[in-house]
Amino acid sequence: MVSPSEVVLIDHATGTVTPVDDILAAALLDKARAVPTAAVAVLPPDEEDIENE
Amino acid sequence: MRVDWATLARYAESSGGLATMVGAGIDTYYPPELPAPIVLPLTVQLRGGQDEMIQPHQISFRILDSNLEQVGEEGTLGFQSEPNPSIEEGWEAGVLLTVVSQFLAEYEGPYSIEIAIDGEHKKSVPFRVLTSGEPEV
Repeated sequence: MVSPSEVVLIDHATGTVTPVDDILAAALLDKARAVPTAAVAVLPPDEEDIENE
Repeated sequence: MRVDWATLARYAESSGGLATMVGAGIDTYYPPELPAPIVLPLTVQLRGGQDEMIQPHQISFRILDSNLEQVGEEGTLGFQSEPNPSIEEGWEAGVLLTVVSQFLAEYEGPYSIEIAIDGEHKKSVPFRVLTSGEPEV
């Protein structure tokens, strides 16, 4: 049961539901652990980036 | 209980009955190559009678691909709202939830997030995954 004020992460590879605060807390305790970036969408590249390539 | 609205955003969080969203309405993701992990910050506005809202409920989220096949596993969470003592008579109670779904997209094309409450389908939120750099007009 989660509070409506909590943001939760759903990993559809496993169906696991984790409060994001728990993930951030885990990251603080173990900085070496790879932590998913919870709220970053993949955006199209800028035109400048394309030109530079 | 119903889903009044649900939208994807580039960034979203909810707290204290309010949501903060950046880039709300995003519907296309451009990973540089596939397969690629896709992260979907989704904010859901639930509405219903206060008596209904304070009961425990299950809300589930599934990703469907263009063939309406489920991608990965369903994610389900339970929630229960606190009663709002200052709600106006005749108003519906509301709950804002922010859920960040992540899945592995293997193909370009349309997808959707399907939202169900207590096993009953309520809303479909479409989005697509493209690997080309230029958005279609």
